[in-house]
Amino acid sequence: MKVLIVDDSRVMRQIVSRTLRQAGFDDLDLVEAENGRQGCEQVRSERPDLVLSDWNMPEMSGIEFLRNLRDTGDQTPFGFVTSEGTAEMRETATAAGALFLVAKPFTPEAFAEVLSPVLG
Amino acid sequence: MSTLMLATDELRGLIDDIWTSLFETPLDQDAPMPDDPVTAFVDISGGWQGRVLVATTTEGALALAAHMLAVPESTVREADLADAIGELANIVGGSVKSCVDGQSTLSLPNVSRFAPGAPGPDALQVLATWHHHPLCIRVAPARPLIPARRSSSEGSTS
Repeated sequence: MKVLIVDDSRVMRQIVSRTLRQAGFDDLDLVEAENGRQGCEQVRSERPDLVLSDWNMPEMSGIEFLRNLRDTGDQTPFGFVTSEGTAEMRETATAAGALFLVAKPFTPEAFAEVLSPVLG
Repeated sequence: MSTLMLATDELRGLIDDIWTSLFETPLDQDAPMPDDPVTAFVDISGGWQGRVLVATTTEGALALAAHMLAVPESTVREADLADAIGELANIVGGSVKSCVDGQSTLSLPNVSRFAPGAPGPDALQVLATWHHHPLCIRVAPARPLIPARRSSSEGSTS
C-alpha cells in the first residue's frame, strides 16, 4: 500500500511517518509532497492508495487540493491531518469528499482508528 | 463579534496537553527569556482577531526540532529550527482557534528572531520551561486600528 503525505512542514511529515509505523502500519510505501499543487502531481504519478494531507499550506491548501482531485474525477481516498479540528472544518472536509480529519497533535491510536478501514 | 473563550489556566492546560502528546514530558516552571529568541506566530482572522505566539531560545528550538524529527541534535539542519517552532505555533494556534466562536481562519506560521516584549493587558500568556529551555506562549488580541485624529490646532494659522 502506498500513502502520500502532504504537509509544508518537513518536521510534521516525519512525525506522520513515524506515527504510521507506531500505529502498526510499518510496511507502507511512503511518498511526500510539500503542498497541494505538488500533491496533485504526486497523486497522478504515484497513484497512492491514500492521501494524508495538511490543510493550511502555501501554493495550494489541502481543501483546494481535495476539490481539485474530485473535480477531475480522481477518487483516491483522502484524509486530513491538520491543526484545526473544529466541527465546521470537519463538515467542510466531509462535504468535499474527505474520509476523516485527524487533529494535531495526534496519537498512534487515533491513526489506527481512522486508517484501519482504508489500509486494512 | 466573536469572543475568545479561553482563560490563562485553560491555555496552560491546552499547552500541557500538546507538549505531553508531542514530547512525552510536561512543561516545568518558567525561566527568563533571552533577548533574541526564535519566535513563531500565527494570526487568527475573522470575528476574533489576534496572534498566537511561541518563543524559545535557539537551543530550545534545536531540542524541540530534534525531538520532533527523532534524530540527534547534531544532525538537525538550520531550516528545521524554524520549521519545528513554526509547526508548534500552528498546532497551538489551531487549538486556540477552536476556542473562538463563529468563523475564523488561521494564517501560515511566520518565524523570525524578536523578543515578544511585555504582554498587553488583555493578552494571555504562559511562561514555562521544557528540558530547561525557556518557553513563552502568548495569545494576544489584535490592537484595533485607531484612525489618526486631526488636532484642534491643525491647519490653524494663528
